[in-house]
Amino acid sequence: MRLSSIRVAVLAPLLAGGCFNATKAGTLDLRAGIGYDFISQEFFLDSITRSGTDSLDFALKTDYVDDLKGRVELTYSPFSDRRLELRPSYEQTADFLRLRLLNDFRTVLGTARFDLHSELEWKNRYRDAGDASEDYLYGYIKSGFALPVTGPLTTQIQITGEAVDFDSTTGFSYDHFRLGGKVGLTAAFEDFSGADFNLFALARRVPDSTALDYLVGGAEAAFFGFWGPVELDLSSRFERKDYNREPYQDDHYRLEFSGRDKLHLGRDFFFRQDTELDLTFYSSSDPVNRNYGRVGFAFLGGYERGVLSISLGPEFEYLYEVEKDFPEGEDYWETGARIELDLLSAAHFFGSVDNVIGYRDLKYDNALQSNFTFERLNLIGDLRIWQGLSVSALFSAEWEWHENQTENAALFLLSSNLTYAF
Amino acid sequence: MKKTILTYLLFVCLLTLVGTSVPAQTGQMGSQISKLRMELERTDQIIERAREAVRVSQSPVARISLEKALQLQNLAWENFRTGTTEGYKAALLLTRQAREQAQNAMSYGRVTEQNTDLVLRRLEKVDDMVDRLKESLQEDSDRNFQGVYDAARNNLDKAWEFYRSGQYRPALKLANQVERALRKIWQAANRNQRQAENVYRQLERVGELVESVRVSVVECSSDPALRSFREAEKSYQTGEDAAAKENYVAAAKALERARRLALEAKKECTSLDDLENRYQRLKGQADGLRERLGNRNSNAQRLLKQAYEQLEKAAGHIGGREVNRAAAALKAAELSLNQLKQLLGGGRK
Repeated sequence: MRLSSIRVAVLAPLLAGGCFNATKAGTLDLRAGIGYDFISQEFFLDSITRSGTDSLDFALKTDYVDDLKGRVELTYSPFSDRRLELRPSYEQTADFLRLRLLNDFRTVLGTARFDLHSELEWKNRYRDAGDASEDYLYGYIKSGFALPVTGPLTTQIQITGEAVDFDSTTGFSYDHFRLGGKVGLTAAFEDFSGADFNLFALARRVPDSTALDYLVGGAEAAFFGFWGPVELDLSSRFERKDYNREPYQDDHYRLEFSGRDKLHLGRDFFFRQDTELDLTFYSSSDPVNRNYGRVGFAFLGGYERGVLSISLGPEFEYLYEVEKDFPEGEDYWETGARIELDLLSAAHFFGSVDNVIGYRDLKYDNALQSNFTFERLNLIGDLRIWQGLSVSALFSAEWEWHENQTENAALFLLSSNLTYAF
Repeated sequence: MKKTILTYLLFVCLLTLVGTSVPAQTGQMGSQISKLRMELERTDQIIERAREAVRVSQSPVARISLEKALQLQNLAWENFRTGTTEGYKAALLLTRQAREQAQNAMSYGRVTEQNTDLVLRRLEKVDDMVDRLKESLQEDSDRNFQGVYDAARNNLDKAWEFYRSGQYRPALKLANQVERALRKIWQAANRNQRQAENVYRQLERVGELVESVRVSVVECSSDPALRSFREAEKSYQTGEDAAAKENYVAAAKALERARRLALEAKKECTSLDDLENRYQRLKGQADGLRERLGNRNSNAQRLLKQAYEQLEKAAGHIGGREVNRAAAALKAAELSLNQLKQLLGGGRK
């Protein structure tokens, strides 16, 4: 049964590809292919202390996704300037099918630019019973308006809306709407640098549970560009999130900063620094959450020649939680060594490997939480094999080796596709 | 009778004593039981709070801890309901253990790494990145990383699905993976952008150079200069075409060649101007020395003759745009004139 479904999944796009091959006009593109997705987490825990001879043995392994899939995507652009693009797609696995329609529309009204993006998606489990969350209808719309003000400055307004309608709802899967907006300024400079500043607000409404409603508002700023031999990519955001729960549960202020700077040293060498900062402050009446701050740094020295880049260096992360009712928090220091290898050729191959090996030193050790050594591996690859045939893969793996071996964990994420663009 | 009365009074006192002491003992015991019940109920409240924390986090560790707490608490209530002293003691011990487990569950349940808000924020952030990236990819839709972009976009959809179904850890991990992939694509796009920036600056500078050299080449009419200039123009055009096709590496190479060739042409013309000036200066020196010399000193006459011969050759080479030969002849003439100056005592020591 499963095999026949897989066969259907594999053959359907190929047959469809054959049908649509004749329509390879400038305004009609077809992509079809097969893929395999795998997401799994292993977590083992046994002999919990305090249980003595009655200890329970746990061996948890969860395969969230293990699907072979077939996919067909059509891109239709009725106008030569591609101001309107419609992208219907169909995806099928042995258990699920997914239909999706994406729409992009952009035009210029005088000096102003108008963009509209919308998505409509239907996912359905057609075989066996599954979780309530697996069948749903999802809609998303985003509309933006940009008007040049003066010099490099442009003002922008954006409105977004989102709605999810599950086949049946549970405590986890609840129908909801989100509506938000942004207003701000963007600057585009002659040297390709750019900056943004926006004020934003977004509200979520959950008809079945008002406690899940929230309102979030704040400001964000970003800069990307060049400053002599330095490349900069900086962004920050400040937000206030207000849930409709008492007493102030989960309400918080959050400040985020993310910065990447790369200094070119001569023709082939560079130094890169990555910085991440996250400060979150909850209400003092919040019964569960604690204020926390997390800061991370990476310092990488590297060599770059043509499309090849290799870099390595140390990275650090520190998490600090403000103590509340319970003395034990999750505070830690993490130290690691990172190596990155990139082959970023736009022509035939795009590949990247990065690996971090490190150690997390927890401030509070206890029966369920101990220091651990970790390895985090990431692979990204995209290879154009022949004409429109290409293969791409995203793979991530994480291993944790704890001082208390029963806490060892592993996580695998694989997503691969073989696609032919007609 | 007296004995009977005394016995009776003793009995009454005993009864009174017993009667008063039994309720007191019962009251003390009742108070302790009440306190124990409150402890158990307090643990129930903590477990309820932990249940909410575990529900939102979907953390396996928290879930296990909560299950342990529930088991221990159930045992505690069972022991409490036995109504025996031993049962009460066990209930107290068990409910304390249950509370500790519930507190652990709550602690792990609201583990910052798996906090629902953090996951939501990460997903929104990655959504923003997709938006930023989408525009630049639309402009270069044939780039090879389109495949990775699509895979990342699909995984982001999956991450949202996980989030919407309350599976926060895989949602977070997938979001992290997508963010990393988008950063790489961004990096590749930026590299192109930086190359583009450099190439367009180079186009501007080399374009200005080529235009300025064009004027010199027209004025100096040197064949070698003209040949170099024409090659420079061709290379500049190649660079411009490659830049238009966004082949920035080829564009940069072609522009560098154009710059080198334009400079060679310029040097060629500039050198002829210099040689002309130098010829005039040396010719003036030779004429001045000839007047001072008159008919004396055959050695001096010979040197002057040599200088004139070389100057004549140089004039011929300058006329023929033969820079190197003209420069050599002028050098020889200059040497002869210097020797002559020394001989006459008016030159450098």
